[in-house]
Amino acid sequence: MRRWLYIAMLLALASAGVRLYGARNHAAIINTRHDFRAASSASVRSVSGADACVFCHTPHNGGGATSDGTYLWNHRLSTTQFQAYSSTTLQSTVTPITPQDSSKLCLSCHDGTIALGDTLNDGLLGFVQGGSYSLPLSSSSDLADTQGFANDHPFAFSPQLSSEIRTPPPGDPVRLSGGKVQCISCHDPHQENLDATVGKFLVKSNSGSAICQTCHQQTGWTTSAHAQPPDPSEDPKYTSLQGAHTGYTGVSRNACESCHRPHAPQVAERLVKFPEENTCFQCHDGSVTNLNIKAEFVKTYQHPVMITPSVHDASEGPNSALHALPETSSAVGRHAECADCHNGHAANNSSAQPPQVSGPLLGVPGQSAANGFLPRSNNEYEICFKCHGDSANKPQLFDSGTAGIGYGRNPQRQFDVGNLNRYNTRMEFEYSPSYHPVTRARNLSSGPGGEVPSLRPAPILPGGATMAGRTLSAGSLIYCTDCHNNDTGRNVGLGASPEGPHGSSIPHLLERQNMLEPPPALPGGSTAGVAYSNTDYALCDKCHDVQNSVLRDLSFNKHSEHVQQAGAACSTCHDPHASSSSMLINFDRSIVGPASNGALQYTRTGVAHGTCSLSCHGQDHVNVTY
Amino acid sequence: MKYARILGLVLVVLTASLSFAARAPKSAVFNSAHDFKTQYNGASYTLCNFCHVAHKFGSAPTGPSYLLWNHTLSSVANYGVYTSDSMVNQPVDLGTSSNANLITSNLCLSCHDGTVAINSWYEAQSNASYQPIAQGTDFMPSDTTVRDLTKQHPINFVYPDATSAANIGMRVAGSTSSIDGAGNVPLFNGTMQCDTCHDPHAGPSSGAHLFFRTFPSTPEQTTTGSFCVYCHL
Repeated sequence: MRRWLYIAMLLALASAGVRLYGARNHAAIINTRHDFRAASSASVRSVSGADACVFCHTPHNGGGATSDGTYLWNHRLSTTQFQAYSSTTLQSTVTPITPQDSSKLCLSCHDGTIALGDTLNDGLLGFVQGGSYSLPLSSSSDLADTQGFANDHPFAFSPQLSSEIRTPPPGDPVRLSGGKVQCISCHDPHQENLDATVGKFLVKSNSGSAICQTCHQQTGWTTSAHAQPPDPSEDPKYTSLQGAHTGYTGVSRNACESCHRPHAPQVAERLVKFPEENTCFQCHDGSVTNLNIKAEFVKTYQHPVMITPSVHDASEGPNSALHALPETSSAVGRHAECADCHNGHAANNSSAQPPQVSGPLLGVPGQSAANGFLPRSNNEYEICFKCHGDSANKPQLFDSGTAGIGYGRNPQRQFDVGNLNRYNTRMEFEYSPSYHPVTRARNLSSGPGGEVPSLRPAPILPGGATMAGRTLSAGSLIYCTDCHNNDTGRNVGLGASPEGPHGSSIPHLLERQNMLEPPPALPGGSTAGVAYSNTDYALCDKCHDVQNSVLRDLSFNKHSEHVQQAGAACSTCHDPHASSSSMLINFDRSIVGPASNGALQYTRTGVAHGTCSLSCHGQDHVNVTY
Repeated sequence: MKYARILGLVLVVLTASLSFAARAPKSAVFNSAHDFKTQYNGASYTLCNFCHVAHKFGSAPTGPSYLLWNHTLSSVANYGVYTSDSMVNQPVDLGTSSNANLITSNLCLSCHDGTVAINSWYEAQSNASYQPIAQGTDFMPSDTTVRDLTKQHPINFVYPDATSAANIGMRVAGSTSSIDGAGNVPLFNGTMQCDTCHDPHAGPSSGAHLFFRTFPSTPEQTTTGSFCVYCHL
């Protein structure tokens, strides 16, 4: 009978197949930080222990009771419970650790509550650091620290699989234990230096975050600039001086851990190394990247990245109870953080044509022109509409001065009166009769005799050179960032500063000057306006030839009279976003008043023809035609 | 004395037929914790008879692992088995509900599961003439019993084959009868049993404690100070 039993056991062996794990080497524990023999070269070690195994294991009457076995555990187990990790974007259910989790064994030392030498079957083994030395709060090995396990990568949970989370492939040294992520998923307690750079008992090399990416498959990561830095001279500049904590240099090799830290990061939720922009500024302050983004945020007009506290939440969206976007409450504080416009997992330096998102904006949630939430924006304006469209809490920092942390002087537009949606940029562009072609093509004819004769064949740089890679025609679309952008960046031909609407010294965060005239005492009243200079309207001139078309009166034949002689600004009559009138006419009511007959109206009567009723600069126009 | 002589002859035959490597002599049990002759001062048994007897008595089971066993076997139905996610071959429970037949570790468990008195023998049960001392009064102290085998190093499992052993960091067994291939760390039909690590006859002179076998010297054992790493590389 027994022979049959053995045959059965052998058959079971054959059918079980071969289970692969990382190469085990238990004796490799010698002289690691887990070698507590008195003769160990580790600084934390016992006074008299001679057997390296006994600090954790015992052949008989082990104390563990995990679902994977007792592991013949000889160390006294902690009974203290600590807070588990949580985050608003966590899909898995993470509950406090139970005795059935193999990680419980590791915590018998690593939660700091039990003496390192406190064995079940071999008594209390004294340590050099003290007879009942346990890991102190100051030790990075004490995972409980002051925040419990809230600031540690979650463990003792079954991962919820998704397009971005998978289980480790069979045979990978990274493995689940009992179907769960446990300490031993990433750590091999017997081998300290399988990653010779990091140490930390990792199960394999984590260069390029190979361990992290065994499970985490972030969309867009492999083609992101953080995985493949486009400038090979920048990458090696990321060192411990900038914040690299792994021992590796370079973002490509630190990969996930350039921004995240699996244990004890400064920001527990999502394990971010530093609060918000400070994570990005490790590199993007010019110390690693050639372009200094951080310096943009000291400009007068800016997205207030450094001013607002860390209120961005990665779960923001229409279905988030805590972080609704678009905002439904007018009382909620506004914020703009790096992560509102950029996705570090996907961003790269690829270019695109309007309205599509360019590389730096890949993978960012947005709000469509039809006001639908998009987990990944296709078009640049969708990112802007998250905050500048239907959010109920705008504007908040109302600043009508020409300097300060606001918008600059806000023209008070003719069609703003009584318009509840006057700050809804999405509705402006999507539904107004006349508009700049941000969400929809305008299809006005250009060229001599056309509806927009001033339209250039391509946008120009401030010096007049054509912008590379861009053309303009009746059907063209433009970016929000064609007007709202860095005033000193690469976008205006200055190579040392980044493009993008981070900050500008021109009101409304404009890329180039779009002069306003100071309002008179009363709308319609006499004023000298603003003296004309050919650089005052550089923004308009980018696409509309101001010198050789607009001021040569090829469309409205009184342009030069109004702008050059009377000192009116483009903005006095035109609304650069959109208008309920034709030709973006939307008078600035702080300058333009009604005509003597009470009318304030522009009517287009044909190409280059129209009728105005208004008073301005002390002049009364009643049904004046051109 | 008659029994001792006969038993000695049987053991000589067994030793010759199995041609095991050098081991502690059986007489090394003298004055060890397994020397009940000394402990039960005045008992009528010989040194050997507390465990072995030359003839089967009473209800004593027989089989390849019988080893002329005289100590009353345990009737525990289920001991449980140790499991771990890295084990290749699962142990088979040594309790009577799984194992109708005698396995060598069952002999050890006849005292060391703590359910049967040390002084409980088949021969004494069946023959009033051979009562060495009063029966059924002494039990093992709890620190030397292993009733719950889920918390013990696994036994009664097939030692992993060469490929599997390498994959989980185990020494490849030299044969199905011993891990070193020379009989020093014995397997039993390829399975690990109590005797793989322990030699019940190895008295105080052969090791520091607990009847350990003398394992072949390896660099790993020297550095770790632990014979565990003889197998757990």
